[in-house]
Amino acid sequence: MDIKFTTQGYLIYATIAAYLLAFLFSVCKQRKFGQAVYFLGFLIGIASFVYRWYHSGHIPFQNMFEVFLCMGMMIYPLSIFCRRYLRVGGMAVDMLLGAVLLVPAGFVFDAEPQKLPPALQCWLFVPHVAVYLFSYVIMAKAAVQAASKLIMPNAESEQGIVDGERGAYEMVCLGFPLLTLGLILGSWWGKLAWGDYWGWDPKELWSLVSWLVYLAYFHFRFIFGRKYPRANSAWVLGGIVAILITLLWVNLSKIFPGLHSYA
Amino acid sequence: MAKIKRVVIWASLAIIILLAIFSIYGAFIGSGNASIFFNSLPLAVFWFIFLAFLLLGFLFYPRLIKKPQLLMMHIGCILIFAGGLWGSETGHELQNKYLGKDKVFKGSMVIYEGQSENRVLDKKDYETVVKTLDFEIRLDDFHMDYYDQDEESGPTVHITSHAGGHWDLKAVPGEELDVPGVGKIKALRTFKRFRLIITEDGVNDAKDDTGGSENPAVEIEITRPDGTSVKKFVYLYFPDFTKDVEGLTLTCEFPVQDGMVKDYFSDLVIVKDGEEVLKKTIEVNDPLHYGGYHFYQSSYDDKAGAYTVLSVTSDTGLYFVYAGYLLVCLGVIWQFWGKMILRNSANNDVKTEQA
Repeated sequence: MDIKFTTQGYLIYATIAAYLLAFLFSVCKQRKFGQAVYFLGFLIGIASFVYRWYHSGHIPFQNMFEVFLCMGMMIYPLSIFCRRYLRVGGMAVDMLLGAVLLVPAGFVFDAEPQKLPPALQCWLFVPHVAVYLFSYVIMAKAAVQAASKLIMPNAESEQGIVDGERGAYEMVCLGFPLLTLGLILGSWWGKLAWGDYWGWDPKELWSLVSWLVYLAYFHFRFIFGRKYPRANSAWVLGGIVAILITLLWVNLSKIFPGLHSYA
Repeated sequence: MAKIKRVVIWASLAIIILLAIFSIYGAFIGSGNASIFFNSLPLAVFWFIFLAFLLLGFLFYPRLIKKPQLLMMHIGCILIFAGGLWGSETGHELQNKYLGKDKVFKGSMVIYEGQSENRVLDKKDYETVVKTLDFEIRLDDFHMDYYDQDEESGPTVHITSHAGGHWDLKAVPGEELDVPGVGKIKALRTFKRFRLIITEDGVNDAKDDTGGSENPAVEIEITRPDGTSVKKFVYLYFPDFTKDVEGLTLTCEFPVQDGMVKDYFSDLVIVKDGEEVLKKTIEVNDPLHYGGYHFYQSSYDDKAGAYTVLSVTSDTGLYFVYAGYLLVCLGVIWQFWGKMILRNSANNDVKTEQA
């Protein structure tokens, strides 16, 4: 645990505090206050992201600190979009999810800015990482929806809001194209940088595993529909486990050395 | 028929799961071993079964053909798979043997500045010639860009007197220190690619030659107690030149992080039948494409920057793979987001009507 007594650190902690406060308000049925504080947290999150961008001299997508900083900022617009257009609820849990996503940035990963090595100086750097980060946040929300179905299978949904199994499906439908795009942009970039669109690198293989789990989920749901909601939920949870391994274990563990080790 | 349809879809699901399991195994054994594993004979059988079931899907599920987005996704996968097979090392060997082609799958080229090369070397040993191209590549210039030097991590001049005294002078222009018995030593300039030049007046001077080889150096001025002064260059790679200056040994140090490489470039010219047909400056992420091959900036001479190392890859099958990627992307977006957009539009229409 490493507390950052810097402007960057304070911005992150303020965002976490706002998200947690928003969650408490929501749990105590003060929804309007909760949403207002959630929005405030999002604004502080943007300020934190922009501050990092200015100080590092490049868009902050390079290392684990920057990745989690960015994901912590993405949760708010996703919450609003899902509620308004997909009728997927769980905004209170999203607030908690946002705080959880910022903890690694706030307390774990080194915030020292790094210069971009030659391999990262490519126009594909931004779209490849951005779509992946957004897809990860979406799939994390999908996993929360799926878990809610497993933990509270008979819970009734709010008026106009879909249940956990349907909510997870909607979220995976939203995130899967981004996951696909991320995989393909990464392959294209690999071809431009290293001459190989597929190098059997551990990061590439685990990214493929993540994609395949959701692909299998769609085929399973095609066969059985909503007949086995718990099995459907298990697929979605399997997907987030694969994503966590891709994002964390592959980057941090010495078991998987490869070309993506700078991430 | 219904039974066969169920077998096909269940087998497809099983194949996806198996591929995921193989991928997890491949991630644990490292990229080199994973490449061997996925190109092995048992996996070749798996790939053909994979392809067979993709095709069977079209036969038993007319929806895959009738719905353009599903058609695009599945055809895309077939194209990626076919392009990958066609462009693989085995694919090249079979094409060379049965179709009379003469293309190498991969290799490397080492080209010295000012020289031409047409030999592609084996990537494993950089010695065995695997292919002689029917054109040459000339390296006109190799150069690097560095990130700006940061004051706190800049170069340092180490000063040692024969009596055993030791001083460190930060090589920031204007920085000065007093060495007892010798005088004041001031840093004047630093160079990353030092080159001696003779000015129009016939005076020796130095410049930082951006197109030259790496040759870090620091210019210092020693002002004696009597007011006279002498200038010297302290070289990182040639410490013997300043072993005895005014009774001092001078060396310099450029920290590893100092002048971190930002990018490196090779100015290449393709020469075919004695004529220059193409010129391009390549860098990481911007290769040269010619004659059925891509040439990538792979590495370089990190001591003197005298040669560049290019990675050579055949472009066979690549455009099938790219076409497959495009179809999969478009199909996936259409299938999952198209439905969402249509549904939301329909809901908005209903709300408008109700209002």
